[in-house]
Amino acid sequence: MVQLTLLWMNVGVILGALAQGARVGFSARGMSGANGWLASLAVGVAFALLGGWAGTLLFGRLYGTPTALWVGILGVVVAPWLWARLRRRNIATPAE
Amino acid sequence: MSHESTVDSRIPTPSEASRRPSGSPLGRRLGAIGRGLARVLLAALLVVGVAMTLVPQGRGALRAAMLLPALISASQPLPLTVNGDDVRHTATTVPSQGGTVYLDVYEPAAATPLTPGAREGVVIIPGVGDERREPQLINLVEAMARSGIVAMLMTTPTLISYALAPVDADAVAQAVLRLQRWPGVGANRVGILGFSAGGALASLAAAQPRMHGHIAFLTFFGGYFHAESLLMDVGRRALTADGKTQPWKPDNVPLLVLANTIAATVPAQEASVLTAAFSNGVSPLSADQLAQLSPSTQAAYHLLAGDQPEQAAANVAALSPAMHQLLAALSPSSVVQDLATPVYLLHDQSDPFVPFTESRDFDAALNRLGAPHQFVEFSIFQHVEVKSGLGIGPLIADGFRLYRVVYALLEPSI
Repeated sequence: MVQLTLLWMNVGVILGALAQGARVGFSARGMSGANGWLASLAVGVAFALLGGWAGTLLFGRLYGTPTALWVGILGVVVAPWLWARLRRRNIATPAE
Repeated sequence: MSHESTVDSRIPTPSEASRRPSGSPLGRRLGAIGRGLARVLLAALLVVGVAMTLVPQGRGALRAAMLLPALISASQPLPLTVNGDDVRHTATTVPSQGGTVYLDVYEPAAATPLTPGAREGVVIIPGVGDERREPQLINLVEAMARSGIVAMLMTTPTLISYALAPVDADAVAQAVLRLQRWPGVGANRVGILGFSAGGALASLAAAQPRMHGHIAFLTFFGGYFHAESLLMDVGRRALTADGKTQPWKPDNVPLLVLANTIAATVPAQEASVLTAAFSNGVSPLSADQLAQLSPSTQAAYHLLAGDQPEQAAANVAALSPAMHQLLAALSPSSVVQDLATPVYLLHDQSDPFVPFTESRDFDAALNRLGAPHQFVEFSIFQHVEVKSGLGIGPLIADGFRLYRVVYALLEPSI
């Protein structure tokens, strides 16, 4: 499983980079500089790992990587969108 | 200034960010193309990932794709070795009416996944001889185990000694019942894959009333349908396909197996003469040796030796009642009407062990009965092993046919 875990981490990094390239990552949602890249890659890795382990548990080891793929993509696309939305809300309704 | 205007100035939307002027027009154009490609790639990977995990047919397609290379080559694809389960091998035995049944179980080492909740099991009868260490077969069962299937290789002392006996149908039944009780295996997900003569034993076992409803599928690769018509083709060194008779030279192994099998019906002295004539290729008997044999044993000898091809029908007719009875008892044709499970027939057109017309006859019988089945003819196999030095064309064509069968086999369990 160590080998597979490393594979899923690599998948997550690639997905994070793809999201940045597609302008749907954190940089495109307003996170500036290297932070945007780092956040996208980190979220990609985290979701790919989550997907890989969940896929293995649910469907078997053969299906861990395909699950890591689509869960990772959902993560790198949805997480920046959610982050921007929450940030907008926080800025729009500042603490008293 | 309102809150809204403050937010908009700090957080641009992706579309706004992409409209920012940066670099030369060419650079902007290339950037837009790269952005578009990245989005298409993400969308495509998302669809593929979802299809291969959440859609049952997609899971089956992935597993069939992983198994295919193990079937058409002596290797396993890298994605399967990396992503597949570790394999655990267990050797065990079970008793049967014909003696001890040797079982080699290859299974995933990991726990059973939550979906579908139980593993598929396949009892594999490799045919005659001791094939339990044959590299291509081991490669296949390990690939099956890596993809989540519990594969059980079975053989018997009779099969190992290159002979067939109807009583070994009980050995197959015992193996199936043992696999149904194997931890993690779904009792209604056990099928049989019979190579060569193993297919006949599989059908004899599946036809037993106690096995009805217990076998998910039957797959016969290079098997025979009617032992007497097989003997006839061996005797005349020819087969008839599409109304045309063509020469057919049998391999020495089926001659040995038929000699050993028929020898069980004759006195010991005649049996030793008959089997010795085919134990190492064909060793023609002298006139004196032939004269010591009964007419029916002489007929069997001539059929196997192929020295009277014009009299093959007469020699078959001259076989003793015990021989006819034995050949019928070893024939799937005797029990085809009792097979209450989907049947998959696979046969290579240039098979030198069993004429491919045997599977055509099986197919025709199942058609007449309206029984669920599939029949596929190949050109890339040497009996049940892949030929070496094949071009990519035949591999792709036959690989696609084989993929469809493997997918159909795995579909009920996904």
